[in-house]
Order: sequence, then structure tokens, then C-alpha cells
Amino acid sequence: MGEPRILSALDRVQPLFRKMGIDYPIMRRILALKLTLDRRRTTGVAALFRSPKSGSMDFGLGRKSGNALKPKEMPEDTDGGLRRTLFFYGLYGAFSSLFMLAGGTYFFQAGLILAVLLFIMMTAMLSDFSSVMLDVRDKPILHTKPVDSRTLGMAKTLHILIYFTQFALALGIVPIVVGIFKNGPVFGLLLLLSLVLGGLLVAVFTAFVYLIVLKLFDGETLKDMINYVQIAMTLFMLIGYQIAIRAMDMSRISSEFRPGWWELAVPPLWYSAGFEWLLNGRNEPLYILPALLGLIVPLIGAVVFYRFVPAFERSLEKLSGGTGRGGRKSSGRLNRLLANLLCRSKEERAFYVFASAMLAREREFKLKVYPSLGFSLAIPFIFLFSFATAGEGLSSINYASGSAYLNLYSCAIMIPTLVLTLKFSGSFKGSWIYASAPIERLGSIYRATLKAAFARLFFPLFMIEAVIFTVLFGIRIMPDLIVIAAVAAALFPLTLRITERELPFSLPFPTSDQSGGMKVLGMMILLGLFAGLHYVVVTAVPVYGVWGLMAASFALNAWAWRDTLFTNT
Amino acid sequence: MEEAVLSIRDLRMNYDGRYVLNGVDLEARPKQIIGYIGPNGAGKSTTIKIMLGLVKGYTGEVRLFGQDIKEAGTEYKRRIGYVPETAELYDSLTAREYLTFTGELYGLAPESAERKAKALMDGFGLSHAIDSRVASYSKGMKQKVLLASSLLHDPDLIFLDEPLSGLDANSVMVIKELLELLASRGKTIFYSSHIMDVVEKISSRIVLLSGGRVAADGSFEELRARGGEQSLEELFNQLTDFHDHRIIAERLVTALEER
Repeated sequence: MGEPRILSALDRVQPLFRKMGIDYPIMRRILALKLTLDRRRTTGVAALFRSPKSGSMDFGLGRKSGNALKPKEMPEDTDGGLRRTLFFYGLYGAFSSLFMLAGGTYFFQAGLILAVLLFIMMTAMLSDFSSVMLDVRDKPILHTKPVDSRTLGMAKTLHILIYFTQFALALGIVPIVVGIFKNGPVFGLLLLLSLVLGGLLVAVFTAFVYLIVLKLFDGETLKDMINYVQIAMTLFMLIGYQIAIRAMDMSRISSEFRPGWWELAVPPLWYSAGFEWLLNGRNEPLYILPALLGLIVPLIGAVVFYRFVPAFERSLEKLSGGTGRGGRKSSGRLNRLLANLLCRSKEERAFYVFASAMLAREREFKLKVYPSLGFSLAIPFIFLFSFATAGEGLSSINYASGSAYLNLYSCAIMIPTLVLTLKFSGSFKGSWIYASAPIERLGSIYRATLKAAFARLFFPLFMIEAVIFTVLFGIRIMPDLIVIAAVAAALFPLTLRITERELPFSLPFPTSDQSGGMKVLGMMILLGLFAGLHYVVVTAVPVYGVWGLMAASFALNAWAWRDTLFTNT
Repeated sequence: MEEAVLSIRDLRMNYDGRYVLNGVDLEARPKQIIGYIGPNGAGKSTTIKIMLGLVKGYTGEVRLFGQDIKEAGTEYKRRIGYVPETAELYDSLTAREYLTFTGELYGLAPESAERKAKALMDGFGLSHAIDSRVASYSKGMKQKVLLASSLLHDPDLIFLDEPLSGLDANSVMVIKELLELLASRGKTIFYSSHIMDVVEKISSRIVLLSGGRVAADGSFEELRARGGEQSLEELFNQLTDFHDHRIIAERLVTALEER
């Protein structure tokens, strides 16, 4: 692995640092370490395309903690993670530049693109902040070493500078180029300036969000929050892509878009007001005031934040340890109730409650699975809209008697991947408990976990969809919805059957993408076949066909979930 | 004498052509606290894992509660408690969730598992943290959760692999007292550690494993009578044939002083 090029660039201005009284070799070493850490880290975006490296909680204790447990893989020493992250930020910047093509006033164009770019910056910063700007590990590791504070401060400042430059460049490069070609070089320059100032604003804002959350709650709450931000971001990427493609239609709105004083509440518009002021020479307070705000607020914020740094470092220590006050017990009741409802044996019930808690609590798992869950919430509608645009718009769908509601089958598309992910866990080493406990039937572990995944992850989503579809298509589709739910339920054990069985939560998340590939595809085709069959039956036998399907789908479930599927391995 | 809770005969274990266990013979009875010691890699953890069914492919005979574990199914595990050497557990769960779950796995009813979990956490002084994720716990707190999970179902045979690591002096005293009480109630405790002072004080019997074999077996007094040495630490050195500590330390210091 070569050293980052930036370091050799710094070597050239070495005398400058020495003149400032900085111990250059030490600073260089710290900086190199920080950059290496950056490259090893996986951010929310990259996590979508590649499984995340386990976080701070993994210390790799014990190489062989059990015969079935493989040692945690060593972190790969490549730029893969960071490069990929930057690449996807670049890609996202490129997508957002589509908004500029929509036309309209500068105010509208710049406002829209800045809103998108600043949003991405903020989510990224919320999830990366603690590892980049104020690393908790700095204190025990660096502050205990004989490094003077000026050297350390410079290393940190340079690191932050490098990180944000990389980041802003990756995100902004395409929109700036597009802006230059479309609206002239001054526009592009202004866009760059807005991004820098806006970035600063977002950074300060993020810092204060951190500070407040840590003051009011504890480190675990913040970690949860970061996790949800990462999930939201991944989801935003998935769905945003769909929206960006359809963004061309936005030109209609843009012509009616007029600023008002409410714009003061929307930071991206501060900057877009500057475009109108400086490029179109509109010297109205409606444009000048917000533009000045955009300049002053981040600068003041940065100064205030600088004052708060000691308080910040103190509260950031909460991240690395300490226990919070608990008080989340309510979900336990529900899980227990569902366990009694869905499972027969005591053993199975225990595993059901356990699996439900794991599904809801484990951050790494959530980061892997929740975005695709959210996506599957959107898929049926995306399908429905695609159908609609193929015809003459949404009104062309025959809600009263058509069969477009069968698009709902598509929300089950994530089930095969979900089932394959169940075997992974960030704390997979805890699985020694399966072997040391007196478990009579291994089958109950699988069955309970699948039931938990169905009841806790799939079913709530499906209910949301079902309600919306019932509103659209009328209660006549209720029997069909039951059939769809039953087919989805059967898909869980069917997927497990065709894949190799590993105990749930017993393997580390793979570092390389290891989706089931052909098998997942096979299951998806199977799902498509079910949907096709459903369509054929309801068109051929209008009224009674669906009841036959229901009987068949129940029989399928009875067969798929039966005991012999899960013989002891 | 009461019947043996645990009996091992000629246990051998082979990892990739290397024998980790080389014919271990061992018996344990109720009310015994057995200090199971030996150098790193002597096979202590492997022995324990075999008895728990975590490691398979051994030769020889292992009987627990009078049953050969190869034929016993899983029922015998209900009477065993285990604290593994690495503090691994599903740490994204809260202590309440984790302990209730393990209690249920050992056949307790959910309500009683939860009640016991609460009582144990209270007893360990952790009632404030019972609904926080285990991931946020300190090492000592995690260790207490592990201890609680191994005792919750009132086992008759308890395997503890470095159970005191990370605990403060007061907690250590509590645990020592706890082990003695449990032993006096007829439990068998299998205690593996590298901290010789604790083993010396706590154990009613000491088994020393070296090179995959039992090198010494008896009460501390018996071992001392045989070896004529002062502390268990010195006995340990003698029995494992290790006398170079001074030389090695000197070599390390020399390496540090090199310029």
C-alpha cells in the first residue's frame, strides 16, 4: 500500500511547519494514521454497496472461541472503502445536477441543488462526525503520548481539512461543471463558495446536534441516532435515484416558484438568494438579507463552536463508555405476546423473543437490512406508477375492477435477501450459547427466527401497503391481500430450504458482497410466478378463483413450515 | 464418597495433527471447587469445551452426571453453567433481554427467568443498567452479566473460565464467597484461571494441566508437601518445568536498552 499522495505534497512545505514550531515527523505520522483509519472505515453510503466493517465494539478477542466460529477477518488494507464512498458521493452529486437542468430561475435551480447537496452532507456528517472530527480514541491513545499540543492540533486540523476537501470535491464536482456550462463560470464559482459555506454551516449544526444529544441523553442514544441517520441515508439514496429520474417533470413547478420571507428558515435558500443578488443584480432586501445570513451564520457558528470544543470533548467521552439509564421495556411485552401466539414449544418462544430483540437492536444488522425494507415499501408504488405512465397516468388505472393491485407482490422481493442475512451478526461470537445450552430441536431456532423476521419486519410494512391499496382498490381485494401475505410468509421457509443453513446470528458480516446470487434470483422468479398465477386465476375465474388460491396458499404454508424442513443438522 | 459428577478417561484431542490433549484422566465430585490451571495452550479451555459439547472429534470417554456425553443428547447441559474465557455475548441486547433468553434456553419459564435476572443484576449492583445494551457496559459489568447467565438456572456443575477478569476487589470477594456457598450446597465448580493467588485460596483441589496431560492433582497442601515449595506460583513453575523467567526478563530488558 502506498502512502497517500497528500503526505508527499506536505513534505515539500515541511520547512513551513518547522518554522511554526511543529514536530513535523510526528505530525506526519499522526496524519498518516488518521488517513489510514479513514480508508478502513465504511460510511453509510459505501455500506449499501459493500457490507460494513464492524464498528468500535469489536476487539477481536480470542481467535478460536468455538469450532464453528471463524476468526474475524483482518481489515483489508486498501482504499476500497473510501474510494468507493467518494465515488458514490460523486455519482450522487451527478444525479442531483439533473435538478439544474430543470431550468427556472437561478434562485430555483441553485436552491434545489443546494438543498439536495447540503442534505447529503448533513447525513454524511452526522454519521461520520465522531470518527473524523473528534475521535474518542484520541484521548487515551494520543494524549497519553509525549506529543505537544500544537503538533497534535495541526495534525487534526489538516486531517479535517483533507477529509472535507475530498468530500466536497467529490460531491460538488459534477454540479459545478454542469453549472459552468449551463449558467456561466460565475455561477459555478458561486456554487463552490456556497458549498463551502454551506458545508461549514452543516458541520457546525451537526456539532451542536451532537452536543445536545449527548447532554440530554447518553452515548448509546447517539449511536442509535447515528445508525438511524445511516439507514435513512441509504434509503434516501435508493429512492432518490428513482425520483431524480423523474425530476424532469419539475419544470412546471419552477415557473411558479417565488421567494417570500419564509425563505429565511430554509438555509439552502440563503445561498440561492445570493445567486439572484449577485448574478441578476436584484438589490432587494428579500435577496440580500438571506445571502448575508448565509455568509455570517456559519462563520459565527464556527467561532462559537471553537469555544465549545472543551465541553464537547468532555461529553464525547460518553460515546466510548458509560451506561445510560434504560427504560425501554414496552417492546418486550409485545414480543412475548406474539411469541405465545405464533410459537408452540417453549424453546421456540424463547428464540422468538430473542430474535425479535436482535432484529430490533443490532445496529449492524439494521444498517444492512432496514434500507432494503424501506425500499420494499416503495417498490409496489414505483411499479404502480410505471404502469400508470405506460398508460395515460394514474387515473388510467382501473381501480374498481382491475388487477393492478397485484403489484403488491413486489414488496416481498426483499424476503430472500432478508432470510440470507439472518445468519449474520456483529456479535456473532455470542453464538457459543447455542452449543452450551440444552437445545432439543435446532429446528425451533430457525423457525422462531423466521417467524420473528416475518412478524416484526415484513408484516408491519405489508400492513401499511395493504391499507393504502385497500383505500385505492376497495375492500374487494381483501381476499387477494390475504393470499399475498400467505405467499410471502411461505417464502421465508422456502428460501431457507434452498440455501445452506447456518444458525441465526452466528457468522460475521462478510467483507465482500456475498449475496445468495442465483438462489435469491430463483426465489424472486418464484415470487413472480406466484404473482402470474394469481393474475391468471383471478382473470379466468373472477369471483371464486381467489378462494381457491387462498386454500392453496395456506396449504403451501402448512407444508413449508412443517417440522421436517428443519431437521437437526 | 458421593458419586462422580464428572469423569474423564483418556481424553485425547487432535487439532491438525497436533495433540492438544494427550490422555487426560479426571474425576470431580459434588462440593468440590477445582482449580484448573496450566500454561497457555495446555488444553484447559479445550477440555471445558469438550465437556460442553462445543468441540467434537475427541477420543476417550467423557461422563457427566453418570452419562456418556456422546450418547446423552442435550439434556445434561441443563445442569451446567458456563462462563467462557472471552466475554462474548449478544451485546446489542439489554442485560434483561439476554439473561431472560439464556434462562429460557435452560428451561426456565420466561417470567421466572426475568425475575431471577432482575434479582441477580440487583445482587451484582447493576439494577440501574439492566435495560441498557450490554455493549455499553464496562468489562467488569459484562463479566457480571456472564456470571449471572451461567448461574441463573441453578446448575449443578459450573465451568468458569477466568471468571474474575475485569472485576474490582469487592466484587471478587463477593464471587469467592458465592462460589464457596454454592459448593457447600453440593455444586461442583470447575475453575480455570491464571491468577495463582486466587486459585490457591479458593480451590479445595487443584488440577494442573501441562502438555495435554494432568501433571498434578490434589489439594494445595498435598501438592506443597510433594513439591516442598512455598506458593502455588512456584509450584506451577516447577511442575511445568519453567525456570527461565529471570533470563527471559533480562533478555527483554536488554532489548529495551538497545539503541
